Amino acid sequence: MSLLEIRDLKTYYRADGGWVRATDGVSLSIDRGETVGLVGESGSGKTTLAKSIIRLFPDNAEIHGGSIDYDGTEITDLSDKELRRRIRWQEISMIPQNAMNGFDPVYTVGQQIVQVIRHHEEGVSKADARDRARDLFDELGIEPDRIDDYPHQFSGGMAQRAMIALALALGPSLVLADEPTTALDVVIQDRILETIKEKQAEIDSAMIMITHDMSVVSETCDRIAVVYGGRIVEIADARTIITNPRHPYTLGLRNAFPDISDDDQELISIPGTPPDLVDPGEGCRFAPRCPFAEEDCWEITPEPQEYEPGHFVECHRADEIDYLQSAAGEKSTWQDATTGDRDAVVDGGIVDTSGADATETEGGSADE
Amino acid sequence: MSEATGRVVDGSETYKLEVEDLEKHFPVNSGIVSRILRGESDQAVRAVDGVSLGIREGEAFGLAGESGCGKTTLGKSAIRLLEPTGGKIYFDGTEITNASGAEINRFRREAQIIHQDPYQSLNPRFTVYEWIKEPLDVHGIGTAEERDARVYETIEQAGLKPAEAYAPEYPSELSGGERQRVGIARALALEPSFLLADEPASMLDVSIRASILDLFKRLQTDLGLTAVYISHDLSLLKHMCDRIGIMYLGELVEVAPADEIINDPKHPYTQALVSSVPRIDPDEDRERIELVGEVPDPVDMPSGCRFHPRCPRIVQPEGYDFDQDDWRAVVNLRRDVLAGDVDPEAIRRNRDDDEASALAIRDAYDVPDRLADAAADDVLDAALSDVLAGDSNDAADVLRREFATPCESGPIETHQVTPTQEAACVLYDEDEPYTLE
Ligand code: SF4
Ligand code: SF4
Repeated sequence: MSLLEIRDLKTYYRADGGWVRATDGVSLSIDRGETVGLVGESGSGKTTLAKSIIRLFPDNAEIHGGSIDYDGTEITDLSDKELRRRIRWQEISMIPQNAMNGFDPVYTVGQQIVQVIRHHEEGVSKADARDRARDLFDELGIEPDRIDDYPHQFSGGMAQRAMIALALALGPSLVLADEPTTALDVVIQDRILETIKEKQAEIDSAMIMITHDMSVVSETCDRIAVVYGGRIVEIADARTIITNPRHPYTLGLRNAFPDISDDDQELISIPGTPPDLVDPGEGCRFAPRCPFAEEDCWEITPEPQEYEPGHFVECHRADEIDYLQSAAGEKSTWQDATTGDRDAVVDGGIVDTSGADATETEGGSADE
Repeated sequence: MSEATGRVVDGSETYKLEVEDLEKHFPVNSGIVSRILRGESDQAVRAVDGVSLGIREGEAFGLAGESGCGKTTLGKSAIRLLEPTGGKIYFDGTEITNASGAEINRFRREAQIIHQDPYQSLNPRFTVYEWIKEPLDVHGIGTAEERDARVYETIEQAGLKPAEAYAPEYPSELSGGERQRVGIARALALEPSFLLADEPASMLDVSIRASILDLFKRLQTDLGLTAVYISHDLSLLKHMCDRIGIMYLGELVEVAPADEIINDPKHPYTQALVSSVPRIDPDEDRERIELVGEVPDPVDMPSGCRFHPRCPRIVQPEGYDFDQDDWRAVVNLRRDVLAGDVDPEAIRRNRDDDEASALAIRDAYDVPDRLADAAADDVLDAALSDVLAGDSNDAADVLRREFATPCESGPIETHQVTPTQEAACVLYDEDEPYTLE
């Protein structure tokens, strides 16, 4: 049985125009010890999906449907208090994007780790919790004595490591890592990803890695889920997503991402912006940007289809894989895709019209 | 860096922009925080410390390195957005280091910067039209009609079509990609011949980065612009640039054509940097080069090669033959002995040992119980006995003398390693210098 089983999950944000359907009918299961990557651009809903699992989202967000079964417990039925007491940190923990924001600036890092340990494990003495914090620091390559430092005394890389120490302190079975290295330089990023992988293997926890970086998911994940418009549009083992994807959006992302090993890569951008999720209506949500959109795509919402075992794709034309893969590699294919929408003709940006990501910035914090 | 940097092809080449021994030091004690932390001092952050580099006409040049390496400061000082504290700058062959008045005005029109953040770099109270027109007004370019026409022309050059639709918009109504294009249009308004783009795509979503990069490429081709791209993203620079320069702690350590520097880096730092970039291709086996520690504080610059406290290939002392990894470990231990930072008692406590020992110290530094080279092991053993006996100074003397490496002293020469690649590293001292035709 899977460790985590998400079924038809819907997480909506209340916004001026109505409900923003940031996660809109997502099913995903994760096995023990497995690492699943969630990739997609800002506004795709990848962060909301992950944070929904431990309800680390702002007040204006709500789970509107679906179920989250964690190791036999239906998480959506738990009260906030139960969730905090029973699940967060010791069962499912989070490594936020910016560790500095995750720590409370007025306490030392050690105090915060001790607090988390003692809050969740009864009968642990202060001294024992401190020893564990020191050990964790040591394992993550930070001087143990630095547990007495305040967060601002840490470099970005060190703070991120300390956050990993905190996230792993209680030996969780699932770790949610939200762009854990995006803000860091490559040397440190690499070292930290390595540390995460090692520690994860050691405590045998599963992980959800949220990122926009195709190379990071390729190296760290067993499976990759591509998120667009609040849905998982394609999911498969990492190799398949990287080398043999079927969804036009996955193909687009792959071609937009510069590959350091490729001497003559032609980078191709995906015109347009992520969809407005306030009232997305019927049809494929990628249709306004998809060069392969046909009549049906605008009217009929594609359902997930399994092409190879474990490879699910939500696209009406996914069986035309050879054509899609070769055409998507041509710049002209994407440039000719026009929609009459001015934004889509030029290019979108990180402006998120859906508002989903604007509300996704809260990190997990140490005092949860 | 030696004189040679930047004068790569031959002595007669002229550059669009050339800097010689460029230096930008910031006083450390200028801020209240650093005054409290470090006290009054005349120390300086040597953000850019003697860089010589020539950018060729029409070239796309990439400047890379980790945060704090000085790449942005170098870029800004080279076009005098920051005033250099030393060195010379030539633009189109004319020295502009101290230019003022009409001359600097002309230069400021020729060389434009495009900022990283399209959200903060536009004034929210200006429409696209007003924002692009402002520099034309400031510089008093042409007649009112000409300025007006120029605004629409640059909006289209930046790929915002139709220009009429964009002109009256405020930044808040534009996407990130569109804002970045507005920033580019403003930079183009004065018909510059040189662009400095500081992380031009890093704030944009990956799906649209390519279109902004394409725009830069097109502008360079169509308008014959020379451009310097500053980025921490090596994959992106490899894709965009003809040549790339790698910076470390205020110095340029390697310059080479983009493909060569990524596919076959010569400087140990570049090698480590490239080896740290994750690869998309699941079949590519990447061998990561581990570095010691983090980038040191630029106030406290290491002597000799600034990379030597972290370099895995640091040169071994004359007369000894170490396994290279063991040598690196010994260097780490030696560094702490020299700094008086080895505390046998603390090591004992951490390990819960009964008494402090040389083996425990070795172990704490990943130095093997016995070094393969017996003579080297004797030296180390004697030094560790001194440390245990409390004679740290004796230990330091012995290690300083016996295990001296050329990497920690003297000026580090920049070598022409291949016809097109230059690297500032002692490893190439022994090589026959590459002779230029
Ligand atoms: S369903 Fe149609 S519009 Fe959607 S991704 Fe597939 S081809 Fe494109
Ligand atoms: S000079 Fe020495 S320390 Fe510096 S990069 Fe070369 S080998 Fe490494």
